[in-house]
Amino acid sequence: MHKIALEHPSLTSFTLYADGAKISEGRCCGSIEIDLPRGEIEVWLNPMDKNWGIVPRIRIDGFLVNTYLAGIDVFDHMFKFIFADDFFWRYANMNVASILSSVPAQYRDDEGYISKYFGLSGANTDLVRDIRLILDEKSDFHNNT
Amino acid sequence: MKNLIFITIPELDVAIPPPAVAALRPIVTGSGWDMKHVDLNLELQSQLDSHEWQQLLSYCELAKDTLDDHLWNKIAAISIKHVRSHIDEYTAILAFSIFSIYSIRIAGRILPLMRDHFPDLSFLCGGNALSSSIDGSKQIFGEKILHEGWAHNVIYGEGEVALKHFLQGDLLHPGINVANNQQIEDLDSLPFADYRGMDLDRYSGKRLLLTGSRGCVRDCTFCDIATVWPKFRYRSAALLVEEMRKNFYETGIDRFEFTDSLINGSTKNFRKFNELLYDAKQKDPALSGITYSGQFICKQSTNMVPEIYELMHLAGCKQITVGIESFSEHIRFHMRKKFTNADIDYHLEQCAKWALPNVFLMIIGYPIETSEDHAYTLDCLRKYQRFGQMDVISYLRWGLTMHIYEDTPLSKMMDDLGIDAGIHNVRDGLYAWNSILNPGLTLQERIKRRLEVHELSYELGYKMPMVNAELMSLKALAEGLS
Repeated sequence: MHKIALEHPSLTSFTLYADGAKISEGRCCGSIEIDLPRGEIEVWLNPMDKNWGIVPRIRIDGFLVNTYLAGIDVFDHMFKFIFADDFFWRYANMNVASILSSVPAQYRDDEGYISKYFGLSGANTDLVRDIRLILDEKSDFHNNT
Repeated sequence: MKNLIFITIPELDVAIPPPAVAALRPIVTGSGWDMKHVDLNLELQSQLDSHEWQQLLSYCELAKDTLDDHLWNKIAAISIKHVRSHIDEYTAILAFSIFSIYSIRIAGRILPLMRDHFPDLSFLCGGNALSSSIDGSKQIFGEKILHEGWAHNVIYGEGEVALKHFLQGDLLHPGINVANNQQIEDLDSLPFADYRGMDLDRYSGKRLLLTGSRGCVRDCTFCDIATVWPKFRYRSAALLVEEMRKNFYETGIDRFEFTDSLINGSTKNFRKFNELLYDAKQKDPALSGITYSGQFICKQSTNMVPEIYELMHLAGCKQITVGIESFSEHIRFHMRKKFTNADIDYHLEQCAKWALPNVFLMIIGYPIETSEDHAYTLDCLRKYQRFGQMDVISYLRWGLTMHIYEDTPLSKMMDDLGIDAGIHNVRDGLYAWNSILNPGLTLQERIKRRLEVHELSYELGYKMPMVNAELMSLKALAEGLS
């Protein structure tokens, strides 16, 4: 089972819903870690002194998440997001999209620049195949001489 | 006022202002000279097309032995024109920064060219590469420069103190023209880096360099850093934060990158630095956007306790570059890396907890690497996939397979490892070694393994910088196989 952890000094209690059904609720003192089922997740928060608007640190399976990349909508009293099997891939894809949007305008079409400074490169399948062919040719030559 | 033109040459990162310029400017101006900066590295990158630039890089990086005549003529024309445009009646010295071994080849072409065109000026060379050699001879590059008459003077090792003496006419100071340089003991005595006067808008990375330490607390077999800085020396945490504050207010740039071999060499000082930076941000909200990145060493959990990772997050750590090198513990211990697989897991767990992105530096084909080790590497890529997806392993850098530098501990262990590089030319000698104790690990096999990690890394979604450039260099290596 996946886990979600919440952390904020004002956090006093929470309620977690998945696809509209209440899954868990309880009191806590600043932090809590609970099971995270798949589905449309809503986590309602009760802060100390009704001081709404807190944004707790959110960790999923131990990873502190960026709420934007995780697709988490944050409201004054709750946050919600979709947690599915592809959550981690979606997070990675959102990160790539975010990186690409941050590339300076003059380099948007510069594959070399994007590769060097943002680590986004294609599979280079043709180049890999070419290198393998060269290695095979060298190997054949070596074996035949 | 007489002026010195400080010239930086390939290969350097074109996205960031060269740190040597900022470090030495206060030395030059403090000695009563004016200083201009000519960034030939950036100028060539901007004037050559991407194919030409890549050819130049392959030549600099020793992956390609020749430079096409047409390309060299173009490089020469750009270089002369650009340098000439900065020379005026007050110019007395052309000072060349030759940063690393990847600058040696091009320096050997540019220096005589410049001497021919500007015979009336005094030529000075400095930089780490002067203490290195790439041609297998015992002559270090600084000696070669003097022997060939490519410059009138050279400065070995750290430049700050020696340059001050040089500009005062004291040529007998250690490190000037003789490789008897002494490491600076007290880094706190050096002035803050000064980026004023540099056209920072030309550097797309929008970040400044900062030096927190020199040298390393390890003595890794594949690394030659100890030849440059035999001892590990670090600056006080308070001065680092003060320098960041000063340069932020002077330039408006809030991203800092440490030049250190490792920012946590002194765990105690690193912790203090993070505490002070976090405190400074609390007291001055204008500093809240300051972030930092740097090279980092994986340590035991008893040393790098969880609180330090939290402090890194709070202080604004945005990226750490970690020399993992191999996932196989026995290989890392041979390398003298001194951290276990459990230490890697702990480090990743803490980085996940505080969203600290890592760049993992890796080496394929270390001399004792077996096929089982390679299979384990592939297993670990699968094991750590989620860390890649969540940007904790932000980038993997696989490089061009294991190459053996002069002056590294490994170069002195050749007999013990049964390594033979003697039948090859200069470039191949770095990459195309063989070991009679591990005969299956030929360059051909190393390239095959390198391709396999590339393919699997890509399939698993890891981000990898400079893939095409590295694969092109691997292709050049493959083509050169005998």
